[in-house]
This record gives sequence, structure tokens and C-alpha cells, in this order.
Amino acid sequence: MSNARTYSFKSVGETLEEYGQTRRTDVTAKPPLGIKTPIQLDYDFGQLFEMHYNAADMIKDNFKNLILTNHGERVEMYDFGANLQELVMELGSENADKEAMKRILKAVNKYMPFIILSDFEAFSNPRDGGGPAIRGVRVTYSIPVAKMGTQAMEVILYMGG
Amino acid sequence: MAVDSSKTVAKQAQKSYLAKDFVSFRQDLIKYAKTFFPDKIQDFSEASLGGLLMEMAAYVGDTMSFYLDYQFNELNPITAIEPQNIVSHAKNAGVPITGAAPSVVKLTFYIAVPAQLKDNGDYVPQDIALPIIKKDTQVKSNTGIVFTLVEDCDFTEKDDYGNLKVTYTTSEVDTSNNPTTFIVVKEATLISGKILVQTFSIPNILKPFRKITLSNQDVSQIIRVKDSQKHIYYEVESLAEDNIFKAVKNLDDDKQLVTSNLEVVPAPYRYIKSTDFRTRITTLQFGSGDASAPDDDIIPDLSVLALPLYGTKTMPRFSIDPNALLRTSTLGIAPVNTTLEVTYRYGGGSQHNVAPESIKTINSLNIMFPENPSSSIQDSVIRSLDVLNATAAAGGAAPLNLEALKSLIQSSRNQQARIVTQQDLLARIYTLPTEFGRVFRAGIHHNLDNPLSSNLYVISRDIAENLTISPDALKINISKYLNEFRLVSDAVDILDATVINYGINFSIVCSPDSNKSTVVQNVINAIREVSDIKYFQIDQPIIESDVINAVINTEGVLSLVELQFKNYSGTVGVNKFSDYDFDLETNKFKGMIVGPEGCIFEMKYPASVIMGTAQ
Repeated sequence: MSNARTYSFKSVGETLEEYGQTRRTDVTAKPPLGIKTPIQLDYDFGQLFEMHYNAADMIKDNFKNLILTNHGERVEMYDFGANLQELVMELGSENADKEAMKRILKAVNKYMPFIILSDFEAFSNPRDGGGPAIRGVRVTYSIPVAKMGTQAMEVILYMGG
Repeated sequence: MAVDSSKTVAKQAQKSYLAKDFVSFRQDLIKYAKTFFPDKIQDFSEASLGGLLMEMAAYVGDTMSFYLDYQFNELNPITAIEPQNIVSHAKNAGVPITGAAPSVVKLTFYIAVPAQLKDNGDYVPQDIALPIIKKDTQVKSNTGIVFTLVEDCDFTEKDDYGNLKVTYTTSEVDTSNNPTTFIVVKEATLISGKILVQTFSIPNILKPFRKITLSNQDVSQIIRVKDSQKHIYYEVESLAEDNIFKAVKNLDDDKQLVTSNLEVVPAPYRYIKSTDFRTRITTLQFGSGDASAPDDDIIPDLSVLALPLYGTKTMPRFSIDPNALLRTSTLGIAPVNTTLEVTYRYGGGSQHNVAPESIKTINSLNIMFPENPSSSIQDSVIRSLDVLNATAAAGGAAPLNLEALKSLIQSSRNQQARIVTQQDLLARIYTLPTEFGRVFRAGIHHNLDNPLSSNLYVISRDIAENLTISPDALKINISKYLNEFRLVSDAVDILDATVINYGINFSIVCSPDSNKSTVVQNVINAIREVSDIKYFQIDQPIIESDVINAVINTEGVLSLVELQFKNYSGTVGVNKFSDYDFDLETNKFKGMIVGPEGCIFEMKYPASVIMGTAQ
């Protein structure tokens, strides 16, 4: 018993030098920011779903979903979305386009205020013109805080056969 | 340098259980995800899919938290809002659920009765012409509300001296100005509502706890339930109660003070009444017992099964059917193969509170003449019968609403059907129905000779509102009544309280500008007020300061020179006092006069026993 020695746990562990030598240096890719929509399983990067790694893509995806969402579709957030569903058949007329712009601007100001909206254009592809009947909007925007210049995005609101 | 990982571990272990609503759940979830999965996802803004998933989870948490709170609130009758839960709480607490309440009215019956000359030369109403208007007689208000007489209106009732208790006035006189006809007046109590007899045919199948439902709403009273075999079914609070109290007319000498004797009657045929809160329909539920088989045939004698050990040391297993126990008469007998006849009163509401002088019509008359006079006299009296309500009917009310029901739950929970404390015992005595006699004061002392026994001292008041020994019939009634509520091991000895009569002599100095005799009279009145028996209980001492305070606060009194308490006993002049002698002055202790155990001080004949002088 007299030869027994007592050690402190404070004397064991990993020194900073050891940590620097053993830390992983192979992980250099940016961490994923958010889930890409529409949701798809990821087979390439080891994630469950396909993810956005770029802020611009992420914002664009979110902006698209904001425009596609109608009031009442999000739980506990009744006014989330641009609520364009009820206008979709009227798009193209001046009054409907003005109303759609107003709604998009209102939604963006509340939920994505860092987006600066530029132009709005409603488009349609009538059935007799060949292909499915399509109604959608094209929005031009920029994000100065993210140093993103003018971007354009088309969102199809309705597609019928 | 070693890395201390304990702080990291402590940080990871932190969890908050304070989140209650959507916003806080969402914040906690996002904080959690950002802390533990920053390398998996970073964007939880409202517009992102990550934010949407967090909101879905927060929504589930918020919903579960809401229902948890909701259910928890429903456990408390004060915070519960679901009607069926409030009704359940009320039933558990013993709050009776009733429909609309009927109203009660005092109605005056007037009859014209021929006069007769008594031996002493007085004219009084003719005895043989006086009727008894039987209960169930119905009258109707001008608004169509029917009222029913709840007790016989007995015009023939006389006091101990043979004088009629009714009041009467001369209606017609002869040429000599002697009365020939009197108007005899008697007041009686009536209750609103219609009486209906409903019959139920019960098949020849033993159905434990059979229920029958009455067809009318707002049943205020089940008057009688009997079957075709003439069995009377009694209403009980729970089917486990196997006896009821019954009032039997007291025919002894003390019937003036105690009109009824209390009898405890076995009630094998019994039922409980319940009213649906929503529909206000009443249901009667009967017991489960089989009247055709004695209990011994239903329950096996366990000693036969368990102890057949004569000459052997082994016994077989045996089985008991628990359902057989339900067929005993422990919870009352179930009606089988009979017709039940249920007589009940129904109807009520605030519209039954009819205005004064609005009841003038006799709907149906049930009258009898005990002395059986000639038919012409009977017809004459019946034709003269008139009714009128001097006051409005009162007590009619709409059915209880949920808020009123909730308010009754707490007070009902505090009630109990047993006697544990001294307060329980006193409360039970004071709630004895008046017809069984009225205790004016009751006091309790531990019996020093028996730790399980208490001495209960009681005292009553006579017609002149002086204290008097409680009649034996009252004490017997109390004994029977308390016996049903006391704990098995408790004993109560009912004793008469000792009455100590006293008076007060005083001497005062009056202010020069006052009238001495007026001041003395005012002082007497002040002493009379503080010595009123309504302020005294059994075993309560006389507080000398109360009397001194009353004297010196009387206008015109400058000082109190002398105050003396004097005991009165036996007969003094025309006044009869208690026979108990007690020296009040020698029993004065720290400004209080304390009597022996079970005594009560009474200032009887205050006009004679308060004497004062003024200087």
C-alpha cells in the first residue's frame, strides 16, 4: 500500500498540440444551409435530403415557396405567403397584376425584408397554344445585403391539362 | 494543457421544460437544432423548409400542452368548463341536481261557521262545524299556477286549555247583538306544481339497479312510490342507506313542544333519485336484491366451505361468484313482476312566484268534518270557503346553471354525513327538523369518566321564550337522530343544562342636568339588552365588563358606584325561577362569573330583577 501513487484526472486528456495534430482537416466543404425543395433524397453528399450549400440558392428557394404559399397553409402563421391562388385566373389583367404585386411586396416585407423587388410579369401559356395550360409570374429582385445583383425567378402557379 | 470537457457536458444536459406555447416551443426547438446540429442545417427562417418543420413540431407541442392544461383544468371544479365534467364534480361532491324550483306560499283559508254559546257565556265557533282541509287540496292563481296544500289545515285544533287555535271574528249577529256566525281563519302552506301519478310495468326479470324515468321535467318531489304488492319504496341518498327517519305524531303531554316523534324505519325497498342536468328529466334507480330469496340462500356460508375440518385436516378449493353478492338486499330490493306507481310533483320556475292576492280559486277540495255535522252545515261551510294569499309566493327559481352548480360544489364538499368533531355534533343537533322539537342551546363536554363519551347539554325555550328543560320526547328524538350519524365507538350522554337565573343591582351617579329616573330606566334597558338570552350559550360566563360598559355608556351616567350580581331561585313573589342556587359574587373570577359545567345564565323577568339607584 505504501508504494501506491495517486493521480489526478486533470493530468490526462488531449493537449492543444495533440489536438492540432489529430483534428480532421479533410472536411473543407461548406456546411449545408437548408433543405432543397422539392424534397429529394440525397445520394451524393451523405445527407438525408438534398441540401442548399449556397445562400443565394437558399434565398431563391425560400422566395419561391413564399410566393407559392397561400394564406392559411402554414400552421400558426395564417398570413404567411403571397396568397396568389385566388388571383391566378385573373393574372394578366392590370388590376389582378397590381393586386398580385401588392401581395408579394407585403409578404416579402414581412418575411424576407432583405429582398428588393424590381419587376413583375405575369405569363400564361394557353392550352390551344400547345402544351399544358400554365399560369405563372416572373419576378426580378436583388439582395444587396448578400451582395447579390439582379436575379429573376419564374414561379408557375397553375398547370392544367 | 488538458481540455476540460465537463463544461461541454453540462451545457448539453440543459433542457427547458418551461415552453408552453407555439412561440416558445419553436424558439426552443430552433435553439436545440442550432446547438446540436449546426453542421446539418442552419436556415430556420419562416420562409425555409427547416423553419416549416420546426413549426410543425412546435404546433404539435403547443396542441399537446393546450390539451394537458385543458384536462388539468377539468380536474378542478372551479376551473372546469365542460358541462358533463362540472356535473360529474357536482355529483361526486353530493350536490343534488334539480330542475326548476317550485314556489311556496302562505294561504289563508276563510270559512263561515255558526256560533255556539259556551258554558262560560262566551260565543265561539260551533265545534261540529269545523272541518279539516286535507292535504293535496289544490288552488289556482289567476295566472293559472296550481298550488297544493302540503299538510292538513286543521280548524279543529285546540290548545292545552281546550281553546281553539284558529282566529275568528264575528260575521253576523242576532237581534240581541249576539254572534250567530263567525268567520274562522287559518293559514296554511302550499307549494306550487302539478301532481301526477305515473305507472311502470316491471317484467318478471330480476334486473339489478333497475332505472325508471319519469316523463315530466322539473320534478320537485317524489311523493310516493309503491308497487302492486303495496310495498312502499323510500327515497334515500345512496342505496347503501338501509333505513330512513319517519315522523310519527306525538300524542304525549309534551306534544305542544314536540309535535312528532322521530322513528328510524327499515327501508328494504328504496331508491335514489337523479336528475339529468341537460334534460331536467328525473330517473329513479332501485336496488339489486332479490326479494324472493333470503340473503342466506344467495351468499354461501363461508364457514361451511372454509372450515369443514371435522375429523380431517384438508379441504378442497372452493369458488364464490362475486355477482351473487349483488343479489343480496344490502343495496335494496329490485322490483320484479310488479307495477310501480310513482306519485310526484313537477313544475316550477320564477313564474310560479305569483303576486299577493292572486290566489282566489279552489281547484280541487279535499275536506272532512271530524264531528260529522248535518249535510246542510257541511254544505254551508263548504260554500263559504274562501282563500287568499296576503303575500307573494316565493322560492320559485329557474334550474341551476353551470356557474351556480360550480359554486355549490365547494360548500357541499365541506359537508359530511358523520359526526367527528364537536362542531359536527352541534351542527347536526341544530339541523334537527323543528317538528321533532327545537333545541335552543346545546353544549358539549368530555365525560371525565369515559374517554369515548361526551356529555351533551341541551336546553329549550317555552312559549314565553324563557329557558325550560327540554322535553323527554325531544331528547329521545335527538338520541335516535344522532345515533345514525355517530361513529360506532362514540357515545353521547344527553343531559339537561342547568339554568342559573340572575339579576343585577346597581348604583350610579347621574349628571346634575339629567333626570335621574330617566337615566336609571335607560341603564336598566341597556343592561337588559346586553343580558338578553340570545347572547348566551351553554357554559358561557357572564362578563362583568360588558355590563359595566353598558351602564357607563348610558347618557347621563357620570360613574358607576356599585354593581352586584344576584342569584334568583325558586319562587319569588309571582315569579318562578330555576331551583338551582348559585352564589354569583363568590364565583367571580378575573371579571367573569363562571358557572358549573353545563350551565347557562338567564336573566328571567328582567323587569323585576334589575334594580338600580341614582345619586
